[in-house]
Amino acid sequence: MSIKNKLPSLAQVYPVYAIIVILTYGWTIYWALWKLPSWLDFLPLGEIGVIFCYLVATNFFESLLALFGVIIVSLVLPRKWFREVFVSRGSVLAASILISIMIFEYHFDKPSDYFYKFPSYLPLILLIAGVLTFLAGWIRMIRKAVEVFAENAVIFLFISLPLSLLSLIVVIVRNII
Amino acid sequence: MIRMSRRDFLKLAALTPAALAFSQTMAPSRLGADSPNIIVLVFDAMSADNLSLYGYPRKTTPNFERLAQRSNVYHSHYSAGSFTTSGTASLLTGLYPWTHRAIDEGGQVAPAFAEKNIFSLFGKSYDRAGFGQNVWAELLLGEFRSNLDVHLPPSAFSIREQLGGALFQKDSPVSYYAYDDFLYRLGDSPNSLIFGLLDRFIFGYRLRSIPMDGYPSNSRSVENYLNIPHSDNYKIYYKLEDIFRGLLAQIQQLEQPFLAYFHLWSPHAPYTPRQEFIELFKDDGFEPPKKPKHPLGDQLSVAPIQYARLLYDAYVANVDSEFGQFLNQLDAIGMLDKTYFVLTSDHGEMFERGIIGHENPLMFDPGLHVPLLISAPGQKSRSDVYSQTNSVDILPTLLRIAGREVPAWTEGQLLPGFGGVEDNSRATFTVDAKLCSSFGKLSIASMAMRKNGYKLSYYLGYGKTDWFELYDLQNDPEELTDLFNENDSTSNIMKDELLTAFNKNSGPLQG
Repeated sequence: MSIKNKLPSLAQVYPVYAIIVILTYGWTIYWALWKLPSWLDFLPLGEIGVIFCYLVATNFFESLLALFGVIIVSLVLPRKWFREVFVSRGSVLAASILISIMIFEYHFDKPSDYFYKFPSYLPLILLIAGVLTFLAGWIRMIRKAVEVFAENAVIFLFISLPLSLLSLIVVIVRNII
Repeated sequence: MIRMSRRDFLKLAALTPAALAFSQTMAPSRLGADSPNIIVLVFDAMSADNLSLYGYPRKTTPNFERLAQRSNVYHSHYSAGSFTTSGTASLLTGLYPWTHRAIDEGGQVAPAFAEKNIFSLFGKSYDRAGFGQNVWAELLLGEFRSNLDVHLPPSAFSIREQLGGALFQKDSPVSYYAYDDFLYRLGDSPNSLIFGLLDRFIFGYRLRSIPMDGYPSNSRSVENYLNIPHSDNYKIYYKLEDIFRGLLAQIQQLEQPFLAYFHLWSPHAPYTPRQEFIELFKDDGFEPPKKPKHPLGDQLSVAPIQYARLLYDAYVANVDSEFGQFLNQLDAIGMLDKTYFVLTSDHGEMFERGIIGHENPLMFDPGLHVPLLISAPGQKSRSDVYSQTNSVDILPTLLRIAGREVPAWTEGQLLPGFGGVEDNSRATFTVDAKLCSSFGKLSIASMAMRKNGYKLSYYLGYGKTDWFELYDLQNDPEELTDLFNENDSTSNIMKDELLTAFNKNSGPLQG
């Protein structure tokens, strides 16, 4: 079977990417809103805007990295297992891993925790993600629910993609001039 | 069309060398003949009250004392701010915090004053270098970056560093705000979900192999790296000897005359002395005076405060030792014969009244009294100045030394020994307003005014009532007896003067 046959279509990629965008951009924006009052205390609005450009540009690249990971899984696993139910299983796989990372990051902050503890948590994260991903394709009701949610989430891409492009331009321009 | 004969051409050709020579004399160049070099070395969080240079019983600074033998030594020098941002901004602008408004943690000088910094005032005829190892100092240097010829990142000369902002040095300080002060800041969860995880994982891996030679380590611990000097919130691990070695190399690369501002993190917490210094003062019998806890303090008990003081003193001794090597090397290359060398700090550190450190709004001397030594080129003798001075005085003094005009807007005065006179009747100030917006009215603030040997502190907005404290610094240097009394003339005169100054400057930022 060729690689092309295992690659998801764009129509399948968008909903999964939307889920990734909600979680990656959402995590950063959530904490940025906590930080915003402090920035407002001493930074002009223009500079705060530029900081947000850096944040959004960074989120853009990390969301692409996460999407790339899901597509790799699609290439590795049999077509029937993943490619054919890409929206539901891809969304649940991405969400379960990203939410696990959130929980880990919420509880640990030292670099040594990340190097020594995260690898020991990783099998558990992968096991949970694997089970949930399997269920998302196997139980019809869950599959449908995930698909409906993910397809509706695509609307966020209409905001995040232009914003990311604009942010990238701002970051590039400020570092060239 | 103008026609040129062969004769005209030859005449013009003959003039070319003269024209070239003339154009070179008119081109902007750094004229080093008369202008001295200036090195400003700032040690972060170094309290004068813990230095043997100023009479502290523990022998913490023998090398500072060696420098003092060829310097003007200022005994009553105070920072205008109580932490890095405000203290550094005052040093670099010659303005009090209520004027420059870099009053918040990691804040910036108000846009109207951003061009009123020491680097801009020295102008292009000086090679101007800035190094802020403390990221909050770097945020200010980043704001002044258009006036810097050499701008070193905070991670320079480190053994392990990982700063996102340094990748976008051209866009400092915004890039540091985005990456190092927010997305990847240590001490909290990373605010970038995937890259934050990778960033900390990679840094954790890199810290595994950090060389521990000379520093305490335990083969069973995975956190030995915490014993190496480092910044607690930013990924910068370094050894003092590397920093001084790097600075020396940098100094030798600068075009003369130069102005070099080097702001080191040490001896800021975490206190991480080398193994040989850790027990230097253990069981030495020194008992600091007992002082009552302050309502705005952390209410810590005596034991952890004494332990922190012991470690801090050992770290200061370690810093002093490395500084001694640096001083020797500067001497060996003849740099001190053509350079004004300024040693100071941005604020102090407290180990009393239930407090460790400087993250408090209190106006007691250990947190504000900082060292100041200025060694002139070739100076051979020591001169002691006992009248009170302030960090806002450094900018006008250095401008005068460099033959520059002192601008009228500066709030400092020339230091005694460099054109100024000893004047204890002058009022100087320290301001802390980190809970306020730098754009708005200063409604929660603490401040101190020193005059005629007295210090009046004012705490505004911290409780149901505001209050004053008055100390006689000459007869009660430990600030144990609060003399403030509404019926006392000294209290009232000082109160009126402090309130007048505060009311004049505490309104919303104009412009």
